[in-house]
Amino acid sequence: MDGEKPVIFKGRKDGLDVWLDDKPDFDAIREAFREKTESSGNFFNVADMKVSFTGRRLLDEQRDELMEILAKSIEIPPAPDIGGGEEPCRDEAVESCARQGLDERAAVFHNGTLRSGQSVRYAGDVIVLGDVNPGAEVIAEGNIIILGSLKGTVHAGCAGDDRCFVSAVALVPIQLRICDKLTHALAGRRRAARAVPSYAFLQDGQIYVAPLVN
Amino acid sequence: MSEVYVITSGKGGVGKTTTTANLGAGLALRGKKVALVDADIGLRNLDVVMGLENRIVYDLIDVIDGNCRLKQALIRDKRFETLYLLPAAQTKDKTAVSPEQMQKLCETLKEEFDYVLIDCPAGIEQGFRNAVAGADKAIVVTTPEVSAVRDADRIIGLLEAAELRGPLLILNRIRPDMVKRGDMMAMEDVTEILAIDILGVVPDDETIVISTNRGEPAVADNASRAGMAYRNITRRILGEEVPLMDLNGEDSFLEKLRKLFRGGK
Repeated sequence: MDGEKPVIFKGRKDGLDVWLDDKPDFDAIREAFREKTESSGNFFNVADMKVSFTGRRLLDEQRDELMEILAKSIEIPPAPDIGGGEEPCRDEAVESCARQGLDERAAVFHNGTLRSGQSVRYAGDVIVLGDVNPGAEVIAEGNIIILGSLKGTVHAGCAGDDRCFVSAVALVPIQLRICDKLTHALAGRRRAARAVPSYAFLQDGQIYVAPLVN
Repeated sequence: MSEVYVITSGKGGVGKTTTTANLGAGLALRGKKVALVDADIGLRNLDVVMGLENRIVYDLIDVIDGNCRLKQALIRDKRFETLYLLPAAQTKDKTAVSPEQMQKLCETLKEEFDYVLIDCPAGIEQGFRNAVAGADKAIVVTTPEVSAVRDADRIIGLLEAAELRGPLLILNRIRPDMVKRGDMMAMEDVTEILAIDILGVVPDDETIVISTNRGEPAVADNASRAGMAYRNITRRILGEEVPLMDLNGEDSFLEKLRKLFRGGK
């Protein structure tokens, strides 16, 4: 239906696919891209949106130009996506971008063990240099990293970010929440069996725990 | 160089008062001049455990309100020569004292005594704040129960917040047979969570109940295993290196035989 348009935007969950026609010259493409961006208004208001271009081979500077146009329209520079797409004419100059979930978010360190009744709340990532004991809690809008044993309660992504993770040297929490999902300690006394460096993350609405090293 | 210790736990009934009485008596047996202060105003117990209830005329509140001199309120324990008790008031409550007044009281007591032991009330409210206000060091008492350890952890956090660094742990009422069966937390399980230095382990012992009811500190009883543990703790407070008690000393005959055949392991 949009067959004759030279630029097509396709939204993804965490970014944007841009299809560019390879027949017109670049000036025409740029104008079409600008128009399309402006007409889309606030639609792309995602801070860590990733953009990938398909359908047409772009020179580095051409892609930078398009990125600039897009950036102006949303005032936040989007990161160009380089992750394994299926399109063959992706630009060869591969740039690495921050892994999602680990991008520029403020972080706070807590030095020492959090004991029962103590709590750390922060609108960003939290790193604890010590244990989180039973009865203590860490609540973060971002990720939670515990360089010690997690034996208390944690809540990562408390503002709704479902890409947040929790990692600990020993992951044996009483309760662990990510975004709006919750899991609790396995009943029974052999909880220590899971006391290996692990991280918990959310996938398909379920909390999974995986070891950090094999 | 005198020191003020607060004996605290968070949870009630884990043995704060018994520990205070025994450490006080133990230190006095070693020739130190000791004052015991019952900070559990409204629920005084230390005098009962010490068997000094019938000698109370003035109490801590009387001293703070200036109704009497400090010397008049201090009850000397006739059995231990250098042991004195400052009892709590029973008719008032915790709000009758402020942390500043406790601090001043401890300063005064320090001039006179080698050791001042404060028996802290259970809880984390004003009574706790009063008890820790004048202390230089803290001893945290817990039993090997999840709830008691949880409260001890909370208390350690509060002690740190009150600038009382390096609290010492007494693990009370441990039953080696239950630990062996895996039905009770072992010392290592407790210290793994609390992560503070251990001052001593006291075995669960019937003689403690008897001595407490009689008002005679078990530390003076050479036959009592708990008394032995308290004597060891006393020596550690005095700076001696004493290994932790071997709690498996009460093996059954069969168990001893089995060990013998296994080659002493």
